[in-house]
Amino acid sequence: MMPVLQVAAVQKSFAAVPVLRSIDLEVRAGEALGLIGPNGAGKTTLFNIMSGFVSPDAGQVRLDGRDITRVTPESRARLGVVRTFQKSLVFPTMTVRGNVAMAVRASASTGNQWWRAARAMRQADEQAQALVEAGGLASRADTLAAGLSYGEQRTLDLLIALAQRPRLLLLDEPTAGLSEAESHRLLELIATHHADIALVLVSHDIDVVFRVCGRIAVMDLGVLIANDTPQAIRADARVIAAYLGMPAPWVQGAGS
Amino acid sequence: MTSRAWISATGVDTAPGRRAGGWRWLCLAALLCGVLAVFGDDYQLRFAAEILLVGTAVMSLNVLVGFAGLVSLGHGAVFGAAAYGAAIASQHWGSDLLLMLPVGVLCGMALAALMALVSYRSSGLFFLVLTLVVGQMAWEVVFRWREVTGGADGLRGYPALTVAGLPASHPLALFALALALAVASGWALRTFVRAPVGHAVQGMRDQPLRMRALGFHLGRLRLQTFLVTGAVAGAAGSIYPFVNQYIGPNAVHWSMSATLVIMSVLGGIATLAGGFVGAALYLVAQTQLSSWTDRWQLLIGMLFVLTVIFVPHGIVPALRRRFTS
Repeated sequence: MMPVLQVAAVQKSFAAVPVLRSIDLEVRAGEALGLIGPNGAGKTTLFNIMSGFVSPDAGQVRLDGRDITRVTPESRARLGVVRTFQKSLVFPTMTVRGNVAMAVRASASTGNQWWRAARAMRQADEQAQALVEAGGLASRADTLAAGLSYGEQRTLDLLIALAQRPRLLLLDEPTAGLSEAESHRLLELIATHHADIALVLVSHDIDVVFRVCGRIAVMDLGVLIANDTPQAIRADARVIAAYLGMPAPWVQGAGS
Repeated sequence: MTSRAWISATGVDTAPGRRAGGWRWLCLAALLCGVLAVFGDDYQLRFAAEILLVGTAVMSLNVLVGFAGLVSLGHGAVFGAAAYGAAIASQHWGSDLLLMLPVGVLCGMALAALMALVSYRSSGLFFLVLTLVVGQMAWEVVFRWREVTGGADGLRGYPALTVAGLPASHPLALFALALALAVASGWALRTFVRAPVGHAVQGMRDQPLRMRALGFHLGRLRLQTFLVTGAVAGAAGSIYPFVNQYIGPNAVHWSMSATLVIMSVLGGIATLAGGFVGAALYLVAQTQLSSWTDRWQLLIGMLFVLTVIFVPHGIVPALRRRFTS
């Protein structure tokens, strides 16, 4: 099976400072790849290169085998490369349903229509409503997004992304700042939807990454130092040294 | 951080029932227009036509500023250039509305498209300055090209307006035409802001980065907004020189653009009706105050400051809140 996303020998420097040094990655449909590493490791740059917001100096990004390295973020979105941002980016003056309907229309290529085609608008609203209900925001469907709590806004963020019918879903710190319950609900939502899409998850929440991802890539100083199953990553000496660290003695004691 | 009042004043896709009561205001406006048409004298009818035409231009500016977040200081030039285009065209090909309207719309769209292209990648203060510069370029052409535009003296003596060959220079006819244009423009802009593209334009205003991630091309959205608003301002401009059978370079000057922005803020920048309320308030105040004192601009400035302090989102949103709460 051909990978949905292939990142091949990608390099990037900012003002002669190398940020990414020849990164190779692959993600297949139904697979969830976690991208972790300390601050400054190059995760966000790699994420931006995958979504097209930053161009690499060298290397290729392929979607389903097609070279999309020079394709704009707007065109990538239409090809099914969908991303969220570290900060919640919802539309504050629109209702929750309106936010999701905008993404539905974008994916159906009706987002630029100059006329209010009643049928198309109704269909988009119905699809949006179904997603809003699946995301547990049914009671807030008619609320302006500005009136949502932070956790609800993060959920809405994810619903907007899911409404784009992603082929490749890039999630940037989706659970940052959420309570455990909110985080759990969001992860369930991700789990129910990522069955046939490729997922890349950047997060500092190690528990979340280890729970959701079948494979984890670890970056440090622009280099991919490990790319393996969660069990293998936990045991990898380089990962422990660079990022995970050793369990505290009392934790070791408790474990033994 | 976006304030709640601003959010409630700027969204079109809001909770059901918010727009209830809009018909009452429409009926009131229709009644006012009916009373004017029956009882208004020639001066009042011409003045009302001017308010409706300028109000239509302000309404289109409201879409640009309030809905798209593009604060332009060149919209007056779009309106004025269309007015000059129509006045000049009438000298050569006659002054029938069926010709004046397309001439004005094309002039408005052309200058608006130029502004969109020049300011393609700019935002904030740079956008403001670029629209100002393009507007002033139009003013420079009007001011210097004396043999065509009349220069500082402006243009007079062009034929009076006709509609399909029938004379339309009577104040009542001008008022009726301005009213019809205002209604048609209001309907067109309302359709635009409520259509998917209008939602996208508001998305561009609030979350440009997210819009790109959704696959929307911001440059194209901007261009479309400029073209639509330029067409409406151009249509209003095409009748404007026939209200008083005179058009002067002040109509293209940046101060005209600034006046439109003040009218926009007075009425409420993210409302369509606010354009007419702002234009009416400003022009009535200007006319009344200037007959009373030379320092009328100072008083209008105070009116503007008071509005910003007490109804920061404009008169129409304040009235809406007052009557729906």
